[in-house]
Amino acid sequence: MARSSTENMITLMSSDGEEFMVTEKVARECTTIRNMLEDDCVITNIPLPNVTSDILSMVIEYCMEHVAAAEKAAAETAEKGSSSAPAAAKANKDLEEWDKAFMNVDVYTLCDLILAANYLNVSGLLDLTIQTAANLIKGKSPEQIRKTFHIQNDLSLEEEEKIRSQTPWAFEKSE
Amino acid sequence: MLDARASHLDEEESQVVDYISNLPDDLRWEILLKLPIRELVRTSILSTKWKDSWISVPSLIFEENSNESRLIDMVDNVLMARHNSILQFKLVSKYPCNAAISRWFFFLYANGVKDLQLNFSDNARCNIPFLFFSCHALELVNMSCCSFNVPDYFQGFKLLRTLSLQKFDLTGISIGNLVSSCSLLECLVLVDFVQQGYLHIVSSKLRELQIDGDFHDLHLETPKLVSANIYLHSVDDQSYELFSVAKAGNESNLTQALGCLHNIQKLELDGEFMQYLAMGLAPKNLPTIFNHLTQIHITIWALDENEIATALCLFKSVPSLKVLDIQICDYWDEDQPQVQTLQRSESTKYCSLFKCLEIVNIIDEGDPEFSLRGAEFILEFAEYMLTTAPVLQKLNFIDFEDSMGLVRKLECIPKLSTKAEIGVISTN
Repeated sequence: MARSSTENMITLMSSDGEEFMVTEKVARECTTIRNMLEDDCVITNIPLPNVTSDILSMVIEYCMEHVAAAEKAAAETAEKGSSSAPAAAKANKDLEEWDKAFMNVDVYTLCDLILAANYLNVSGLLDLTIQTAANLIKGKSPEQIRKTFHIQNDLSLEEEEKIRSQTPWAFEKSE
Repeated sequence: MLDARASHLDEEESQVVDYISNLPDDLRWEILLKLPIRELVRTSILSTKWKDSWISVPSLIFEENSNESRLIDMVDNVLMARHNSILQFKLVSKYPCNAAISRWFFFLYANGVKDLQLNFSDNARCNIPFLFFSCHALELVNMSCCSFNVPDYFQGFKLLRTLSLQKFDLTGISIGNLVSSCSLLECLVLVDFVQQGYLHIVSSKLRELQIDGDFHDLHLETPKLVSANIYLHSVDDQSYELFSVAKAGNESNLTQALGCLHNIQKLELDGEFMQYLAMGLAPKNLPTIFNHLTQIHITIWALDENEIATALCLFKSVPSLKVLDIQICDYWDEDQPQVQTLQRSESTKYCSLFKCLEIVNIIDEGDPEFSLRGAEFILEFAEYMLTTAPVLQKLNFIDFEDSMGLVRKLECIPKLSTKAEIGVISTN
């Protein structure tokens, strides 16, 4: 961590004008930013007009946690010569727990994070948010899903009946 | 952050804003991709916006417990409803679905399927239709319990990168020709198959290989291979003499099988593969030095002199070996001739044999009891490692009944590496 003062710092600017100073390493977790840095290595100030400050701060929090975890694993491998499997498994589990807690957000924030992860191209965060959204759908009735995501049912009864009749097996009670 | 959230929308308004339906289609598909097929289809009645979304998801995954006719109806129904391309198709079924597989391939072929996984269960085989061999867009194929009859016009899968076949029969083409016709192949898995005679794998891009089957002779010409896991079942001496030793002439099986693997990093040789490699004359030295190889797992018979000599010959060509797993098999036969021991053999000359070795795992293959000779071999082997490996950190006995007895006998051995420790691990 002491090294971070000598690392290149990059300023990310959110759509609402807030500035976030991050290390280049953290910024590079976003493939979109990494590509910008590789095209033009002197760039230090990056405007991100598609991401609000509250979402950007969460994306940065995610990237910092994952960079720190990777650095810790690398340091342990260097120190011991080879990585120890149980320690690596525990570190992975800790990070998974962290991810899980990080995903304790409302559906609006979740959708915003999906958009931001996609725009900034943070593959780990995109996988995590997409899976979280899918988990909110799994095992629920259509009515429960509508309620969770505030989806307005604009289908008429006839339309709904017609759709059901096209794939009747999907609406039977599962075996 | 709270401020921003509050200003975003006031409480009442937020009740009616439907974010998920307004995500771009490709992101909504990503979410739908994670759902089992029934739940995917059920999203069609959420709202007008969702009505046709499932039809556009480029991936279909059926993992169903239904009976065969219901499963066939379901797949038919889904395929008929589609009007977008199907890039991934995965079916896991207990039944071979032979009544429907041809018409499904018609859809898959027409849709340019890239990722195809058909996993059936034992007992029956699914007869894969000719049309499969015209699916030129395929990049990944993973099939189990399938029979293939390759048409003579087959030109290879030009985009295929991963081929995994388990429990399969192949007619019309040899496995070797099938593999070499796929010029971009990077990962090959062949499990549970019988190949009479020569198995010749030629592939310029292959990086990962797993072979687990009953074959008679192996020749790998795969210069880019990084990881190989080879398991040979049941050596039948007669057919081996016919196919292998007689044919090999001057070249040893070891040189022929592994001699071209210049880039190999991880090697696992299991089942009776060492027995095959040890047939005929073991070469003194291999023509290849495996400079990148750091991990080896081998299974050897403790009483087979040729296997031990072959293993030593291999180790001599592996200057960077860091982790060695050696699984020891034994059998009760005290009439076996006395084997040349490691200590007495010329191999002691190669004190630098294990100069990078850090971890040795000696694994009991699961015999109830070792013969005297077998137990002696294990002690000799462990002693050899402790006294000759300069940077050894760990020597583990895994799953031995009397591990502590082994440890006690090794306690007074002077260790070359100051860091070396002896450990006992039980995986049961």
